[in-house]
Amino acid sequence: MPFFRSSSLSIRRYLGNVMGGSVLLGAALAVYASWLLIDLEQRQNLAGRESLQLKTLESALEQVDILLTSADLAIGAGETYTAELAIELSSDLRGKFSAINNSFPEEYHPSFLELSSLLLVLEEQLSRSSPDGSADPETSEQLLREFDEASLALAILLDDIYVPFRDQVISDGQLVEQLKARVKATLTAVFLIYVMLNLCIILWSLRKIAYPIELLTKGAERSIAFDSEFKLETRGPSEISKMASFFFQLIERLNGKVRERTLELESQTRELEREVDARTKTQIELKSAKERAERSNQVKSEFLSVMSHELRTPLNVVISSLQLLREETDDPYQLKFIDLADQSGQALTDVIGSILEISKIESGELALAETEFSVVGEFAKAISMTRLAAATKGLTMTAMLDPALPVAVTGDDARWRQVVINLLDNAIKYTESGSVSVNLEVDEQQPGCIVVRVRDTGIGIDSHLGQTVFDGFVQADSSRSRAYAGVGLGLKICREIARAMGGQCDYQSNPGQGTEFWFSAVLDVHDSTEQLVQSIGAHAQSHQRVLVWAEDEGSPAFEWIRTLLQAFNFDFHRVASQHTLLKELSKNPGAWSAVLAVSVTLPELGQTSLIESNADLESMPLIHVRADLENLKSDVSHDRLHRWIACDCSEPLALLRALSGEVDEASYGSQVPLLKQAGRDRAPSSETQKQVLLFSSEPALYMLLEDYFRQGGFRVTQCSDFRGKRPEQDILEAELVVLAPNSVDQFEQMTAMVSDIRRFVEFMPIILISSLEAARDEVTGDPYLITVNQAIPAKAKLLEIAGHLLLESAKSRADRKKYSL
Amino acid sequence: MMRMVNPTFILKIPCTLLILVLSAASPRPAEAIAYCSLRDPISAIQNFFPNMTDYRSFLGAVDLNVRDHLQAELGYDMHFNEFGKHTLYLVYADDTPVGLVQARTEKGDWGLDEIAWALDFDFRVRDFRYQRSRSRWRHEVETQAFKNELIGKNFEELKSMLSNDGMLLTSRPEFLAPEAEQLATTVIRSALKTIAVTQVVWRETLESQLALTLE
Repeated sequence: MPFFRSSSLSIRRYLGNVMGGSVLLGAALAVYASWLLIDLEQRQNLAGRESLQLKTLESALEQVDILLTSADLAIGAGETYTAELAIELSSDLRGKFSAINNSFPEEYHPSFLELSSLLLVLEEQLSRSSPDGSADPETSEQLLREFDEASLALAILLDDIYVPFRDQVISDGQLVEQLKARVKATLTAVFLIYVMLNLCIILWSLRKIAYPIELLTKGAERSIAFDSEFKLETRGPSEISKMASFFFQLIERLNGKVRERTLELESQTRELEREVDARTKTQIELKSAKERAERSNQVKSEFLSVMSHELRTPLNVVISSLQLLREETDDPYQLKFIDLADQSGQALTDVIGSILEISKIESGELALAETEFSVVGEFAKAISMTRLAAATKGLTMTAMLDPALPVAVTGDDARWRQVVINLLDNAIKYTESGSVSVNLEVDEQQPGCIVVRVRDTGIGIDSHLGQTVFDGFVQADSSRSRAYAGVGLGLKICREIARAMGGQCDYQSNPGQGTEFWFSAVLDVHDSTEQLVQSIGAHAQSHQRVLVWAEDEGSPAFEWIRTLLQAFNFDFHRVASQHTLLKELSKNPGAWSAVLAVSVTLPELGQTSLIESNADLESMPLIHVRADLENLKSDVSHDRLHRWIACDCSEPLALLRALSGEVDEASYGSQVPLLKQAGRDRAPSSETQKQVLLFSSEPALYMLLEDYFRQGGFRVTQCSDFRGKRPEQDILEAELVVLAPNSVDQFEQMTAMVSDIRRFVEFMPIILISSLEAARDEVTGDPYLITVNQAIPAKAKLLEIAGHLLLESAKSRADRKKYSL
Repeated sequence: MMRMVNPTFILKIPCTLLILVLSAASPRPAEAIAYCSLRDPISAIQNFFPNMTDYRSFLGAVDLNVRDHLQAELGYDMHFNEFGKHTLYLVYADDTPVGLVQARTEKGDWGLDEIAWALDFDFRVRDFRYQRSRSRWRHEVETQAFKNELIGKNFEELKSMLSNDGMLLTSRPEFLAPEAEQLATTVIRSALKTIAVTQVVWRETLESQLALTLE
């Protein structure tokens, strides 16, 4: 086709021609198919008509058969009645054949005329038939012969009509079926030819249109690849030729632009490479500097740790020596300087402690303990420990407790209390007048989150300081650093501990008006404790009436008692004096189930012998809730407390047990130092003195500890060598072993030594005194070994621990003896 | 020939049957009843037995018992016109019984076909001839060749010439045109019914008549 070869042909014209041709061809084929189908339909109609005529004829022939059978009866047997009915049937048949004759082809018309005349003859014969026996035999015989001839002629005629027509109908039907099959085959062939033609047209069209586009695409690809040897072809329809031409021009222009940009990019790349080299160099230097800084920081932390430890040990010896010195002199002048030296030593200890703490935090060694404790108790302890400082400055100190506080939680109680004390110390330190209020709350938004808020009316913090107060060695400002003691590490430690506990530490301040610091920590509520509390609470559901003796209604200790009693539905009444207490008791002794005295020390409340000797109170529990543990250690009136059950603010469960009547021996025994039971004032004889085997390589520490234990009525034997041969005889004779390792090496040797000692004496009480981190983390599970994580513990505490261990050891020995007997 | 039955024809059938029943029930002479629609086979007797001198006719009833017997023997039913009273002719030549003649009807293509049958006393076919037939193939079966196929055969031999349902020949003789096969079948079926009816209805009569003749 010429138009396909022409490059001036447009796609539109081409497609129009192709589609038009396809439509015309389709139309011609459709006309042909219609003609075939119409012819087929006409033939089918004709065959149908013939078939209908045949059925009509056959119906009539059935009647003829009946007619002849009837005629046979009528004429053969002379049944006139049957003859009459046969005549009627014949007449009816004549009418029917007349109707059939009209619809049949003309060649059959003479036969139908003859048929009608024969039927008339038959009717005439039937009408002549008479009852059998009534006609003479000749007449009957004549009639019979005539009837046979006529009926035979009729039968032959009917055969002549029926058989050819039936054959014709069958033949026509077969022709129609053949025609139908032929039409079907023809139409299928036509359709297939049409489809094939269209497929050819489509393929041809694709080649004519798609191929130039493919060439163009290939050209574009080669052009993009800057293949200069490739030449764009412009064959194909005019649109594609034009497009290829335009595209070629566009590529040429783009190539020019690309060359320009390439040159620019090459220049920029070179510049960037120079920059990257410089930056890489800087980065390497920075990385090196960072590593150096980290190394320096680590070295600094190690240095601080070592130095703090090395400083703290002799310092503790100095402080302890001063305490001993204070007990040996009554000279006010000497006491003044001893106090001054003691205060300076304590301040230095605090600074060293803070430095050690922060170095530990920075080196990532901060580890939190998992112990069960009462937040209310720890809170009360912290307040008790800071109340004196606040009172000294004339500050009012108030505390508020959230009733929803849990009774017991699991966490690091010491760290938690440390943060509270730090915040309270800060508030007291920077407040010259007014008040310090502290709230203990539950954060309802976060389960297990306990919040402490400390609000003061102090100098506040300038806004420009912002979060820098939480950086190390930062105070409110440089001018104040002289006025307020400390190195500015407290808040940094608080924040780090709060973060380690899953909480935060932050503040809000109005300079000149005050500051509010808050600290939150996520603590686990101890399930088993909760169940215990519930059981105790259920036991105490009977609304027992408790008489509470507390002088200061606003004290945190009383607040805590109030919260606890209300939480467990105790009915309580506070009295402020012993006089009122006795008066209330005398009014109705049976109305009260327990007496609760709240004070730092029991003597602080005055003479309690009247209560103890009261006969009405013999069966009534007398409970003393000690709000200040530090002071309790120096409580000299324990000899007179035999009727009183001692509870700490930090032990709400013990208090609940005591109120519920579940008083165990531990409530008395754990709190009463053995040595004091033995009577410190009564000097023991050398026979009754207990042998202490003291291991210490530090002479000053050894001297101090020796003095402590000698004053406690012990005989002391020294052993300074941790590595040498064990003094087995000394171990066997000793009743208490005290180990004071001064280095990590010594601590490890000491651990092996403990195993050796246990082989000789199973229940040997052992006290481990060390401020080493390894000792802090040591969890032995040994019930006869107590670790004191201090370089130099207080004498009273040390002797108390010794008494406790000796008592436990003695009990175990006694039990062993009892069971062996 | 297959014929389609149209609805109008269905109405005609009960009318025709009514006619036939009324015809059969209407009062008429005893002979008329006996002969029914059959013609007396007088000329056939003369044709079968040219030296015959006399014949006697014996009336017998073809009833339901006979029909049941025939159906059991033949395996196919009788048509309506075969019921009623029929006549058996005992042919004599000089007072000697020479054979039996009986006329029977069969349903033909056009009306009823009447065939007269001549039997010997062993109930074998002696001869036959049409008294009436409107079939154009009548002359194909009325040939001596076809008659020879039947003459001398008893009931069992004739029965073996047909299929079990009695509608087809077991083997068509070469001389017989295919179009005449249906008519030939009808003839053999008629012979079988003639022998069977004769044996059932007239056996005792014949035995007594033949015994009398021997005396």
